[in-house]
Amino acid sequence: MDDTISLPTRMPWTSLATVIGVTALLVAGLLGTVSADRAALVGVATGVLLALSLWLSGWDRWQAVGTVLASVLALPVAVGLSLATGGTVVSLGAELFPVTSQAGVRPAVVTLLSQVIVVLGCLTAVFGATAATRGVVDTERVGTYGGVVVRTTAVPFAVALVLFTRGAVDFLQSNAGTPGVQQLTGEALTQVLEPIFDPVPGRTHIAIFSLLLALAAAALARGLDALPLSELVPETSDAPDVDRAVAVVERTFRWTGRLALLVAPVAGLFELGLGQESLAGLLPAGLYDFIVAVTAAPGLRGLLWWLFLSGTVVSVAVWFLRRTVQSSADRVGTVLAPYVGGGVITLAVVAVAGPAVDAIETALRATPAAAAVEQFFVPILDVYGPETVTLALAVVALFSLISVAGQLSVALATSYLRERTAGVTLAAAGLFGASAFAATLSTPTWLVLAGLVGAVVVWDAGSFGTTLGHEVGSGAATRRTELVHTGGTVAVGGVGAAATAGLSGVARGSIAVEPSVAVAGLVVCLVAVLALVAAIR
Amino acid sequence: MHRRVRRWSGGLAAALFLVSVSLLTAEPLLLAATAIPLIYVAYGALSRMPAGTDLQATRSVSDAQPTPGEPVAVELTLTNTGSSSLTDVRVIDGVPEELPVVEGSPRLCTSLRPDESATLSYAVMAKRGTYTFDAAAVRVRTLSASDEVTVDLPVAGDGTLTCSNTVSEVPMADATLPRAGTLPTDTGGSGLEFHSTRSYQPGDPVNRIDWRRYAKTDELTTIDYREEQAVRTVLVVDARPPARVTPEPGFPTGAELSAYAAERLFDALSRTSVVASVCAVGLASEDVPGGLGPDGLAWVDASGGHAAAHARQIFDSVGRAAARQSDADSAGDADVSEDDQPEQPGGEATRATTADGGTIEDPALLAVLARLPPTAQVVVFSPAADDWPVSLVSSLSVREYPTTLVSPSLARGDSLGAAVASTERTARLQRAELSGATVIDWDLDSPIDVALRASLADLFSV
Repeated sequence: MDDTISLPTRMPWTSLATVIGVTALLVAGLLGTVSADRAALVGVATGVLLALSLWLSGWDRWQAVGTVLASVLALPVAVGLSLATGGTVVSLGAELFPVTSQAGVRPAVVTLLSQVIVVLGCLTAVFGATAATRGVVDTERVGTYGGVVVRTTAVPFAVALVLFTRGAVDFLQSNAGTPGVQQLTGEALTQVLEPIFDPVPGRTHIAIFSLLLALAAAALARGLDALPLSELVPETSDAPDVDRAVAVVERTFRWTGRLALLVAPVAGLFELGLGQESLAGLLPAGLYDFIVAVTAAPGLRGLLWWLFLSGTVVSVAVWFLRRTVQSSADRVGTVLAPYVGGGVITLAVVAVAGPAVDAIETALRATPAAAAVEQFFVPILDVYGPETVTLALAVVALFSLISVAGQLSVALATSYLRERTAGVTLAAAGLFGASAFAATLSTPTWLVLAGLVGAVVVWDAGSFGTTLGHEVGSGAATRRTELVHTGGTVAVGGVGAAATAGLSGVARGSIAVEPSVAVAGLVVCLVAVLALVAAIR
Repeated sequence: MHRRVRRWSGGLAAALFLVSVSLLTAEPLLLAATAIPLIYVAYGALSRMPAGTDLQATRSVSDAQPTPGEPVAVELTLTNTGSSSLTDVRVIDGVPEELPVVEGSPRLCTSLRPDESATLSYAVMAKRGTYTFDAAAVRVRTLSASDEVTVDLPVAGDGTLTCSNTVSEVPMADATLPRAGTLPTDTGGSGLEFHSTRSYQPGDPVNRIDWRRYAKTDELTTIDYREEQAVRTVLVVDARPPARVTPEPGFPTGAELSAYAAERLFDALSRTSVVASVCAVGLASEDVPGGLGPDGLAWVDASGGHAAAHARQIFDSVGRAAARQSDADSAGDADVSEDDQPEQPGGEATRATTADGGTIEDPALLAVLARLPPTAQVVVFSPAADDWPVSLVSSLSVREYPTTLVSPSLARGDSLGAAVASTERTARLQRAELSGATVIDWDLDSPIDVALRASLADLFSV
């Protein structure tokens, strides 16, 4: 039988129904034991959204649309991931802490940790089971999705960085009066920025002014050169000769820039070497006053700075547009879509910044970390404003999503996850971990055992179904075999669960007598069983 | 082939995970729960293929000698003749690679108790030639799927499918054939049927002098009979890329069906001693053994030796060209096959240059016209997927060649595209008919002989 024939490796319906049904039941049961209800629900939704995003990013039929949607969905997924973990911690933290005695700390931490892991496990299980329906976890798709998320993050990251830098500069400058490090940095910043934007009045500043003029003129010339002015004028005989006019203006700007660049060092030498009095003596009185007025005017400096910025922006934008129109629409859509999505995300975050920050502050104040809120969160908010803080939080959440995509692709690249069974393996691992940690909460024993057996059944039915789909194809009748196979697995699991129930009865009794000895004995027993199994194999 | 699949080894890792969580959280239940993964590991390790496993397979083919383009139902019955139940038996029938499966799947997965049988049914599309089924591939797994055996199981029963491409009998045995190989013309001369009389000219044969008239009027008169000239029949097969369209995957292409119809007509004509030439248009030189002629046509004249063998080579070449095209299509863009659909600029160009009385610029068409002998009946075989055959037929009619167009109908299914293609083809056939040709619309659902009989009867009653 040839395994290399590449049939569509869609698993048959019966196996798929087993995987999804068992996962849904167990996730519902396990999440019932978690007290952070809302975080749990957000986690489940995030799992579905993550699988949907992966599928969208590999949607061949509408590539551009799929990329845009995957990119825009990146924020809900990222926020969902953060809420599922952070939200559980916050809501449980409020519930469990502060503990009354020193001995209560450890159980509280274990409970907190267990609940977070149960929520994360359920998230993984839902993601894996959803992904398994279409087989969307493969190297190519995960790589594409990672690229989309990275490019989506680029825009809010850049905006957050700019806002942060501005906030930091403003803050440090305003701090110049406070003694200590702030004073040093604030003074340094003031020394750098003041001669440029806010010069001392009553004296000439020809050198710096010339430099600024040169920069602005060069940027304007470049921007003018980039604009398609002559292409926009109709090609008729009576059309104005725009080309020549533009060339004249551009040449003027260039020469102004060069002249200013030449003047700058000479003027600098004169200003430093001669001093203001000699300069005033050398120049006619009217001219000196005029130069002082022009070169020291802060408004003019600001205008030149903005001219420089707008010239640069125009040339970059035109270069970008020129590149864009040369590419195919689909490619442009795919490449640009994440940036557009990032822009949308940035705008959305900025729009909801105020209420979001308030909500976070209220949630944090309810936890034992209320003191930290007063000490760190509020001052940061005062300095940087709610927009910057929210944007920074969104960027951190997006980075966590990038790290998830990275972990997935590393797992696929190192074959810890096989492409064919990646979805069901993730679902089973999530369920198994969640069930194991649920045992430490007040979960009924039957649910823990059902979770452990169910995780194995999910993996077994999924991988068996995938192999079946690969070898026989989904067109053939396979239900009988699938049911028989899954029935066998469930039966074996039942035996295992019964053995566990019996063993735990024994263990509970023994632990009541002498806990450490019993645990040690059980570990020895286990090692012996492992060795026996290894020998049998 | 026996193979062990280590699919339960993850259980050991799961057991270790449970131990570590148990120690971390001081939860004895989890330590006991290591029984669950460990029992699965044991389940996988201990599960073995039972001794005395035995399977038998029988295949039945509904029609071992179908006609091309006909679906043939195949059934494979698998019986567990061993003593133990088999929970997971997977079988793939050894369908010949060339035959596409058009219905059902030749694969099955089932569980079989002792003496229980399972049947696998599917249908393949028949193609010309003889095809042998391979042994069925069978894979048996244990319940835990950790032990598997793969074998090639010899299959009893039908093992071949033969799709004959020659006619066992002349299909138009009952067709009226007034005089094989001759065409009555409108000029007087020697013959059998009275045509006209004229005044005697020296040198006229003595046996054609009207002696009665001479006795009555004392004038010498010569009787002309209707002259009967032997003519050639030229079979033109349209095998250009636009004709190599197929309504659904695995179905013979228009060019192949045209060649098939031409081949059957050629065989029938050979038996009735008509002088027949064969010409295929649109082949590449690598398709034809010995290459194409200098004018780009594959042409076999009846006068040369081994004409029948050469003609058959040409018919086979059409099949090769179609196969080459479908390979190229599947290897390259899926759009290539769509490029050959009827609504193509190529067809437009041809139409523009061959309007009634207009000039003709298509090189293949010019080559056919140049090569045709002055007296010939022409039978054109084409699916009429573009306007080329209409141009050819109207050009032939203008030159007063008796022309017949045999066109296999490719439209199948109810899709919009099929409806459009079918309407366009009907319009083309009507135009061909208006230009004076006899048109045979061969509906593939009716036997090919019916269309051929109509074609031949028409051909010989001209």
